[in-house]
Amino acid sequence: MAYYGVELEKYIKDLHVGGNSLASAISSDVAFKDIKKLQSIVGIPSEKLDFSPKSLILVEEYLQKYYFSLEDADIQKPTEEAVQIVRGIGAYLGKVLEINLAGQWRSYNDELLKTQVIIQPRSEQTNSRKKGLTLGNSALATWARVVYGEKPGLYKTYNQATKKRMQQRI
Amino acid sequence: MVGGCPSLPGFDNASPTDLTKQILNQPTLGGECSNYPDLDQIAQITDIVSTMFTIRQWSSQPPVNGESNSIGNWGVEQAEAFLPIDGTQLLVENPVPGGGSRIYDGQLTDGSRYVEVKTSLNSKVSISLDRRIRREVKFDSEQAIKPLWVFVAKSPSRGVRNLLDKYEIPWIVLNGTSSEETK
Repeated sequence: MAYYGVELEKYIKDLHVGGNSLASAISSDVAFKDIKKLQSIVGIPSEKLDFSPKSLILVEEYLQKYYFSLEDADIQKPTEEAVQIVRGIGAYLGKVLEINLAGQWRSYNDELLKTQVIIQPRSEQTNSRKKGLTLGNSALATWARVVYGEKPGLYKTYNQATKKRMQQRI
Repeated sequence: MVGGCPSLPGFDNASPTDLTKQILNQPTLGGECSNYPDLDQIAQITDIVSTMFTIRQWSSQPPVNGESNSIGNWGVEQAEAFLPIDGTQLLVENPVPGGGSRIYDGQLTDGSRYVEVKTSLNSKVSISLDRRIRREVKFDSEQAIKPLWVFVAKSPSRGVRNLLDKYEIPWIVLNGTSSEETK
């Protein structure tokens, strides 16, 4: 049996092939709309979201609470609501990166799963390369972890993406 | 000029033979500019799995006695210089439980495929299989679209090649000559 995360990924790709705008790329301009929808679904009060990196932990908590409130029948298969949650998570993470680290949005083929935020290296980091993360993918993985009962890891993702040096290249 | 290809700095454009382009397991990539692949040709390369390009001169001198990160960065610069690659590091997470995350060295410029660049300037004859490479290949094997592995300055060992081929992960060797390289 395929894993939920893999099924959801395939579902989103199929939506994109079918021209469903739910699977289209997120941009800085439309991010707030997706964040509002996430708040509405998951029940996060507006005043709680201050776009600080730490607020990602709060989003994690609300995602988990929401998931635990679902009936089993609601989580058997990927749904458009799950995709909307993924969009909302990606939009919020992207805005946090944009606001705190001057992250720049980009996407390929207008696909949700190919939406990325690129962070410029800090000026003092000589010999450093640009780095970024695939927002759609990270948002999908975050929601999948919630469904698996694991830690959502959204704040961890932020920290991984913002390490001074992502990894030693070899 | 070779077969109508634009003359590109660093490539030996004297003739296809002198170019020492070696295509492993496949006689041709099709097209006459295969010494300098564009995205369409990369798409074909990823179908045939493995290819080797030899260039005459790197775009910059390899670091001498450099630490692994500077060598790695240099390797990515070469990949960017000679292949249609954007060398922005990208964090990618696996949507399966416990799947972890992976940081790629970049992606093809059209965003169609992630890219892993392996660079070695040491005296070993090839880039050999180790625990890290095994872990990375395992992650890559679970991706719907397999990333492209680019080996800079050294070929992969038989063990690495076998592992990549087993999971149908495409790879390219970008090789060149340099006095620094032999140090």
